[in-house]
Amino acid sequence: MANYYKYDGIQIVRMLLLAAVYYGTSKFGFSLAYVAEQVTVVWPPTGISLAAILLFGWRIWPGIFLGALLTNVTAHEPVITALGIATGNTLEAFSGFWLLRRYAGPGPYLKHVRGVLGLIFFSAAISTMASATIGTISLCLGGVQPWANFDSIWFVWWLGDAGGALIAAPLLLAWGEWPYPALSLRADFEVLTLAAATLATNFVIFIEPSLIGMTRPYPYMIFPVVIWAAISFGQRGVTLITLFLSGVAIWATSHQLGPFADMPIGEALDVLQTFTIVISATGLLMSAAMSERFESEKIESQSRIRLNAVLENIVDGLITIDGKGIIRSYNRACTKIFGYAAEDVIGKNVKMLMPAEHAVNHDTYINNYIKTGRAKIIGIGRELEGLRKDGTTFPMDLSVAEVTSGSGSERLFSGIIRDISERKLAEKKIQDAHQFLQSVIDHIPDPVFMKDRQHRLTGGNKAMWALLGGASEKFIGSDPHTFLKEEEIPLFYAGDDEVFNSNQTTVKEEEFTDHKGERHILSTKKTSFFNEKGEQFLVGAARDITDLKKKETQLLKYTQELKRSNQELDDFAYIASHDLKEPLRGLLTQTSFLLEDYQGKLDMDGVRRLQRLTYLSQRMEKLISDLLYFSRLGRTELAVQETDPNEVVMEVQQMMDTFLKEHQAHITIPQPMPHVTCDKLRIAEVFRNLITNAVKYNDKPERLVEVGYLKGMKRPHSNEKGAFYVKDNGVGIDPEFHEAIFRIFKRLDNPAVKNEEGTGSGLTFVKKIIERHKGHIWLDSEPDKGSVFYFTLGSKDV
Amino acid sequence: MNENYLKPQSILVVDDNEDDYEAIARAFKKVGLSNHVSLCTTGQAALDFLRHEGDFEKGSNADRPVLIMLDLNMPGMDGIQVLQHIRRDPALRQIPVVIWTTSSNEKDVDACYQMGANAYMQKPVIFEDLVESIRRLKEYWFETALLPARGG
Repeated sequence: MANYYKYDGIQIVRMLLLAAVYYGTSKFGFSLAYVAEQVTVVWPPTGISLAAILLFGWRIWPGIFLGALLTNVTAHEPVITALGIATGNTLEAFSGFWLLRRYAGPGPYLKHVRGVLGLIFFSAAISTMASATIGTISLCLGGVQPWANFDSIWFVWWLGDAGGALIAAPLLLAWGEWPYPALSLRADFEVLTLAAATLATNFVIFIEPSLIGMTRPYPYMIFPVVIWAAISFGQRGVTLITLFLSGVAIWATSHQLGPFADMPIGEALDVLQTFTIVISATGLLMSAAMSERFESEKIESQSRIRLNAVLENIVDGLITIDGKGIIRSYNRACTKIFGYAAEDVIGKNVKMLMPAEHAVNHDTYINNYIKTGRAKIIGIGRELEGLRKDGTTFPMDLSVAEVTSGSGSERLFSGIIRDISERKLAEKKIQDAHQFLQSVIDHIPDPVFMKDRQHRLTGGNKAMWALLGGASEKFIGSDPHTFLKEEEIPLFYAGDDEVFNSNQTTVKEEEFTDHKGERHILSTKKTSFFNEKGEQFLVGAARDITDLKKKETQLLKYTQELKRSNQELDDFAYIASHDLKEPLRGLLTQTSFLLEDYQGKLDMDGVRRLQRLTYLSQRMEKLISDLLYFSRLGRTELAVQETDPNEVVMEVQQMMDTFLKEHQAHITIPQPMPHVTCDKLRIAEVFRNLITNAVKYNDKPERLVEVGYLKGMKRPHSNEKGAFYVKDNGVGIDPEFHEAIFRIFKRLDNPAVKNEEGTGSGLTFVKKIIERHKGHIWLDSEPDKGSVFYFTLGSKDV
Repeated sequence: MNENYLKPQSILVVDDNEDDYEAIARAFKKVGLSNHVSLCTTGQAALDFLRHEGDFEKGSNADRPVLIMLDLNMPGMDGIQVLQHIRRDPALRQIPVVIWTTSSNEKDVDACYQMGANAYMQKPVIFEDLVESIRRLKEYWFETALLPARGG
């Protein structure tokens, strides 16, 4: 409603128009005045004034005052009386507006039951009393009417004003606001029908009841028509019909027709007016109620549309079922999930969406819940299997809630369904990965475990549980006292805490007593880590080194014993051979003396035997010397240095020059040999021995010795890069003796070589020297095909 | 000609093995070393002899030797200990000591030189070799080198 603060031109025109209309309608009312000339039961100006204020604001009041003053001044009254009445009428309109507004708010009043009630009670019944009282007193005071008529004048005044407020005001309010609805074809037809019914009813009531065979007129026949108008056309229909009824009734009654015709005209008008007021009030209340309902339905349907839009578009499926399991609603997401369209499932039992094993029990579930109120799933939610239209099943997350339906009594359940196939798949993958990891961990032979900051085990592998002697459930999460000895706890805790606090990996030896009381020495590697919640854990891998430790200790003992025994052996060899030499020397000396001193006294045989004795003693001396040397080779440190083997061989060749020439032997070095770190003098000895053998054990006229280095030649499984070799065209060695030749004092019986001088220890020295260098010696030889001796020096250089 | 030949110069041989001693004595003769040769068969005896103590008190006038040939491997006090005593004794330390032993052990060789030995010779096993060794000894110590004027 507009609020006018200024009296602009339009407002003034409105005021003047209002005054004119007021004046006009009042004159029509006065034409039906019976109690007094200035008082009538038909008084539209009250309604017009009220409507004007409601439509245009209270500042329109001067128009009311002016209209009322004009009306009364021209009604044979003193001016003072007219002023009083005009004031009363203005006050009436003003208070009617004010009270209504206080009670029912800013409107629109006709569309709400409360507004209509306010109109009836405050505007029509209460505020009109002001006008009636002031007006009647003014008339009586002004001497226009006698005080004796006060009661009847007051009542007619009041009734007339009330009628105006309830007939004219609603009419103006209903039709005074734009826009008017465009009527449809159906509505047009209904309008015509209703108009016809109105005409007919009015005709029957007021003019010719006998038309339908009735002997008396029954005014209440109008009710169905008014109610129809209220239902179908709202307050506009009601106010029009009321106006029409009012007009017909007044006309008929004043022409002695209709149900009120048998009363005196004054009384008849009172009754008629009351009747019209009742009809109007009824119709208005009815249409207001309809309006309210229409409004709330509109709101409800809008919210339902919005809700449907939401439900249709949510990703989760939503199904509503009733207490019998019949599907009531089914959203679009469900179509995607189950493959059924909504029309395929609505009205059917929800069992069709479940695999058989769930379906058979579903009715029971619902019944149990309805009976006992105990829910297996309602309000909880769980993972279930769903059945698609194509017959496949899938995992789904279902949460069910009971919903109270709009009408109240019916039990409905809504289920939200989420297809969790993908999640399940992902979970399965994670689970598989976890299982794989667990089985890998379980296959680790060493105990592996995880601990939290309270030193409780949070996980581990089979080896761990085997060590602790029980199933994992017994230990996971339990107090560390269940698997640790009281006295061992502080040490373990300290070790754990070191990892927790430093956040660094440690490797420590820990002593652990198992459930059987056996002591274990564990070498445990511990690392700290944080989980996604920021909690600290440690993961440990323990290696049981008890046996290793034992073996280590034993090995150390053995090594020491071996060292001592080797030392003793060396000492023994040295001392023994040393001490053996002394009597031998005596033997030789004495033999020499004997030969010298008894030269003339010994015969040839005696001399020969003594010479043999000397030879044997000398040979024994050589053997002992070799033994001594051999034992020294094992004892003395190597003097390693960077050595050029080419140079070494050259020196050896020079040293052996006479020997080589004697035997017509030639040494060749086809390719320069790489330098090597070794004991130069010992390696020279190796080459000298090998070359000597190559020449000595040779029956060819020209004895050829080749010395060189062969890259890639090595013993299997060794990481050597190559080997030195000494090759000859000599007699060769039967593979049968390839090992024996390295034994000390081992000589081969070779008829090709008449050698009485050798002790058979040269190769033994060679082997010893090479072994001291951590190298290997081996040979490739067959009788009559020559020999190749290979050796490595275990040096990284070659 | 070395003037040492003009004086009687005695040699002390310390050796527990009498065969060896006999061989040396014979070798000395063969190479024409006519010096007086004394023999001690134990280390203690050698020291007593050199200091004119014990059994050798009476012969206090005897000249100290100009060369000592010392065996290492002896029962009781061994050669190295004898050498040690000689080198610690101001009256004896000037006498050249030739180690004359079976051992060719480097440890023994080093130890002896460390202790102040003047030469280290290995006893040859074969008598002819022994004679040759002694010949060289004679040539060096008595014909080439100058010995202390008077032993001890």
